[in-house]
Amino acid sequence: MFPTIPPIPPKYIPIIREVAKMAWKWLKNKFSETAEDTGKLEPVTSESTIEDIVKINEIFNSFKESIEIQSTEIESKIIAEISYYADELCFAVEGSISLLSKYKINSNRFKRQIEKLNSGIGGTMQKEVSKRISLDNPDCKRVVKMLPGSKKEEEFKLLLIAAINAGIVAINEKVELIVANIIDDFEFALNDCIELIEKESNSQIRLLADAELQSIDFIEMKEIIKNNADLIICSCELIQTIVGEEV
Amino acid sequence: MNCKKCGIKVKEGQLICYKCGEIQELPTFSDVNMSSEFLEKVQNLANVVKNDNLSTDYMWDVTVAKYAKVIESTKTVLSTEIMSDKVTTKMFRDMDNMLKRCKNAEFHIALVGAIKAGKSTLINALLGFELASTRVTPETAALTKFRSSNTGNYVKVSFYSTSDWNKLWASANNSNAEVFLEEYKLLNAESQKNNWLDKGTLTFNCEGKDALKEEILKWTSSKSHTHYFVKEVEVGLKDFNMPAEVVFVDTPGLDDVVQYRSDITRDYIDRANAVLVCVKSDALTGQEMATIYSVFANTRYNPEKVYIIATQLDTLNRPEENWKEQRNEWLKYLKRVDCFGSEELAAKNLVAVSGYFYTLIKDFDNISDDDDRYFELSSILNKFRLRMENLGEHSKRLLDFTSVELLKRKLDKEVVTNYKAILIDDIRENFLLCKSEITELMHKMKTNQQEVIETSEKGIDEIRRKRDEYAQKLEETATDKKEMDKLLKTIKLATTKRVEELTLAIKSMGGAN
Repeated sequence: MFPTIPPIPPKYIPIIREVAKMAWKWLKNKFSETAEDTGKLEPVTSESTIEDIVKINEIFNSFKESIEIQSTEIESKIIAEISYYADELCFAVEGSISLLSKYKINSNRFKRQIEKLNSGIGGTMQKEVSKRISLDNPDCKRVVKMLPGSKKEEEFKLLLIAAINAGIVAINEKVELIVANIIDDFEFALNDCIELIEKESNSQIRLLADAELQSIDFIEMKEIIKNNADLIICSCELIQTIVGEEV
Repeated sequence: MNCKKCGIKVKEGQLICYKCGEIQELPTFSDVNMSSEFLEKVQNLANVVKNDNLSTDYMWDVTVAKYAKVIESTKTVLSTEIMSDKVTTKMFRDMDNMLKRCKNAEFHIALVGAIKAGKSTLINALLGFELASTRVTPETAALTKFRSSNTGNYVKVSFYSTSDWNKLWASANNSNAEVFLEEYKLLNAESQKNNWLDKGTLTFNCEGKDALKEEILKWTSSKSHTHYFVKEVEVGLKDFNMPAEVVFVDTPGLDDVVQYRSDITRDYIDRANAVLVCVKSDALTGQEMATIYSVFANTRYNPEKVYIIATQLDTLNRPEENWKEQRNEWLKYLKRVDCFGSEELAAKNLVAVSGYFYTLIKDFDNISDDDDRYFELSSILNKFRLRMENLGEHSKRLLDFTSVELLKRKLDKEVVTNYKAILIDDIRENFLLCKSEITELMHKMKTNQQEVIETSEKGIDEIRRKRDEYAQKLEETATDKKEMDKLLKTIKLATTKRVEELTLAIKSMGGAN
């Protein structure tokens, strides 16, 4: 019987929640500040001067830069939480005596996935916000075209909130996808261990049974077994030579 | 003892030479059929060693080709009757994934720019032939890819599915794309819609470049009703002027009237290995600056992959002098933190080109005195205070001034070489993983076979006992499998719960409790 895995208590989730809440408080001020600055600007159209374009982009960029600090911190904690969870999961399964002795899970590929977490998640929120608060984004384009005033300010504030929410959706989708991939790899690794034993046993049974069927006496049977085993050994050695060659 | 053919040392009882594939001393069987069956199996193994064939798909890098050869050969041996029943699905999947990574490396270079910013002229100069349309009307409504082809020139056209088209149509109506909708009506494209939507990919082989050009125009021209339904055009070129791994992608642009299509450009900017933003070199306007900012906004964290291409240098009054002044002005904006973020990178990635002038000089032999292009060339030369008869002695300086070759070298060195190195690193890492898994499996298999040989020497009862032992193991595995499934279900359930907790915590950043 396999033991059930012990519960893995969350390590970074409470911290993520705290940091995210603080970020929201801070962002609320930043939304108002950025929207106020944008609300004062003259309509930005295809006729706008280069200086006007530079000015609006400075406001956009200042917002993007300031949320970078918040999002980077949250993303690093997300990576830490997923890594921690995956490691603990691996440890819990590998730690099970029956699994360890019998199946020897090869977790190399699975571990490689975890190592790649940083490049998979890092910068997700920033990228999404950056795409939304940009002069090619149709909603953004529409708002910056408006006449200066409170309406423009309000609309822009909504745009910023929507951008942050889009960033959150993007990051959550990535988390779900990455975790699903990790679990898929894990499942593959576990099934692979069992399949290998199944195949090994079946092959050995067949080898021994076929020899008995095909031979008239023990001497011949011994020879058949040896020759077939030699053929497999030869194939193995050939592969060892191929993969061992300097490339 | 030594191999009969190559003389390399082989072990006693070794069936084939692992270096040259020569079959060594084979055991004898009392049964003739058994003997020939055995010989056939050994010959199959020997053939793997002797086979030097490798798909050209792997030939883009010598090291990668070697990795692929190792995995291909290993896979062939593992797929033989002797071995296939001992190898797991995962092992085959990992090898296939490795081979897939090794195949046909591609480095995509996207071209972005406003209408008439000189994208098509630049592509034509880079490719060495006028293939992309340079007409005044916007012609690039679909992604047009230009790539190297081993088999000959071709045009491959893919079409929108009904579901894609419905999205595009909704997008055109939502974005009030009046011109698009009016022209669609005028060309009576609606009556043709059902002929093209959901249609499979069409490939046209083209003999000469003129036929190729005609075929491209047929599918991309805004004057034909079919262009509305074309999703992507791929042009394969036998004479490709760039490294074979490069794919140039002419995009519909970020300012396409239909948002659905500009979204395609946006997505491509994100995925491409390099983005060439074409901007007319005469003066940097607000709108052009907006396009540049938009590209940087869509490539955040990766400004290195953006190249600002100041086009149509030949339209300046005094091209050399005027551009010197313009360049400093442009750099003031481009070095800012919301663009390249450094003066050094801005200076490196700002390239001024004159694709048309380059093409005219290169094609000089084919331009007759009464050709329009002759007068155009003459007028550009005037700007350099040169006459037609001076072209020969100044051609090198003028070609250098067009910077087309410089841009090609830059793309090769900074994009292809750079991304090649990254890709090869990833392939190497994957190869080593595959190698260690294969080595481990081979070691295990050999040990098992040694055990079988030892068992067989102990007598028939031991053989039967061993067989029962394996059967018992197999039975246990079946039980273990059921338990393992249960364990996996538990893990999945716990993980889903954990992801929910995590995503909920992240949502706090958007004000959720």
